[in-house]
Amino acid sequence: MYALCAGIGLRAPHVTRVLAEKPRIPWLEVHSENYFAAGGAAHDALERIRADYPLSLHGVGLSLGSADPLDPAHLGRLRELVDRYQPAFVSEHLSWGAIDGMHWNDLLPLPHTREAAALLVDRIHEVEESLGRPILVENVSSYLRFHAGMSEAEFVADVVRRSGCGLLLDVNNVYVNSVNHGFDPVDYLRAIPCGVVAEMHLAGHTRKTGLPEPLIIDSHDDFVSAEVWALYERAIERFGPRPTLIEWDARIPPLEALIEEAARATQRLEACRAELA
Amino acid sequence: MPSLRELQRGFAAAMHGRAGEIIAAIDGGALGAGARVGIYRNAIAATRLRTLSDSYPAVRALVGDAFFERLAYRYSDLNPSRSGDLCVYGARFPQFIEQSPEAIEPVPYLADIARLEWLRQEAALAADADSVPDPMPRLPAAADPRRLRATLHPSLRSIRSAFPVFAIHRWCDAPAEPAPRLDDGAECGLIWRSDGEVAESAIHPASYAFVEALREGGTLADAAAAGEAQDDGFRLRDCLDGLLDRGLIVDFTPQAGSS
Repeated sequence: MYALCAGIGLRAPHVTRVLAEKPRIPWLEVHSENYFAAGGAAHDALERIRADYPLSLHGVGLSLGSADPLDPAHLGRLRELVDRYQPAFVSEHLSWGAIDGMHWNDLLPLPHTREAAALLVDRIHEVEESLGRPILVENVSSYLRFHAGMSEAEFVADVVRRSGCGLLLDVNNVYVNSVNHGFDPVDYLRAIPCGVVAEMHLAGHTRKTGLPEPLIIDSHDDFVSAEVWALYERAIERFGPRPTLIEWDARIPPLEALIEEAARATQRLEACRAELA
Repeated sequence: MPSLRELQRGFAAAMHGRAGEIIAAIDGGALGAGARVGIYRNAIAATRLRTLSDSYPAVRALVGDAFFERLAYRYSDLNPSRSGDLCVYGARFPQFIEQSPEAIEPVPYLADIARLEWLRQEAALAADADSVPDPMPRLPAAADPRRLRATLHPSLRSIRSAFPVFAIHRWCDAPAEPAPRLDDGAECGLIWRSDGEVAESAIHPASYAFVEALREGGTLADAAAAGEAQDDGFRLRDCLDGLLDRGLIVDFTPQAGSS
């Protein structure tokens, strides 16, 4: 469908223009939780957008990796959303965000242990059974890692392999973590099985200075960096062209900037396809 | 290595400033485990502050950024999020303000403004009516009109305040206008969603009593009695017409057991 094109994450400041002007954007992704309300203007807009664009739903609050059970109300609302909008992809994160009923509303890092991997596999199956369809899971950026356990790439590969779900490979997150935790990002890509990547994400980040070691914050507030574009090219060489999304969540620029950034990704996807042909 | 639950509980404690339990499990590197935990603590605090700022812009405008931030951080410490959906975070902020003397003494109407802002958010996100409200929902032919119950529009909310809350709220949006006078008195009002936008209107206390009685499941007769108890001059027909004109009654049903 839109395998060889890059879309954008649709955020509130751009909804009015997308509705009015229907710009040429191959596909759009929205955060699932932004549409959890029972009704209202956001749904009216998304109904109209869904009629004109392929759509994917990207969840940020389900807390797949929490030792607590999944929140049935949250899962129920996600199911209603999936039933209503019939998205091309539904994705969640390989992270946790709640414990003992308290939610931190963040994508918190998991230990790369067998216990955490087994829990994620069970939870992915639970979500897929509830939604009646497969989901993708995304590797997250992190600012700390726990002692012991597998490397992050081994952990992600293990979860994806054992659960059978697809991977939403966030290339920026791989790069951010490679700097924050001192590993080779290309080695990370090599550790991921070739056939599992179903979608990729790209975003901007912020490099902190004046610290005793390098640190990058996954801020989604800038253009994709040269290093991430280079890693993206390595990723599509390895995994083939995959639907790709530009995420921009803070200091959001005019819509044109996102469309141009998506076009840069599409050029790379087309070049990869030409090489494969 | 602690179990996953132990580790997540340790992380939760660290978000409340008790990082001791989790530090040993983290590979801190040159930056240090405490600094790394602090990145998450700061990000979570910033998210909650942003969420409260988005939900309570008039409260923020009234007390100023610095005071609002202190209030919001204290609220966040005492009221952790209970949902993965941030749209529902901050529901208890009005009560928290009400119980915060440093907020309510200098700005006695602050909690009511917060209550109004939360009701506006609820109205914006409420379910749609099952169908487009008929401007004049049909009264069941055989029923005694006074024994009917009314189904209100799902977005309809109401507020009663000892202060002119709607005037103050409007002034926060457009502070160039003359400031409202607190001795303008109490206000009752309705908040609802119309064509995707949140609308609000001050109403007479008798009309407020009427709507509240309908919301509690009373018949039109019960609600009219509640309105008349507030004001002898309450006129059921006028009040009903006002609600119907705004599409705020979406259906009438006979009281159980009546024909």
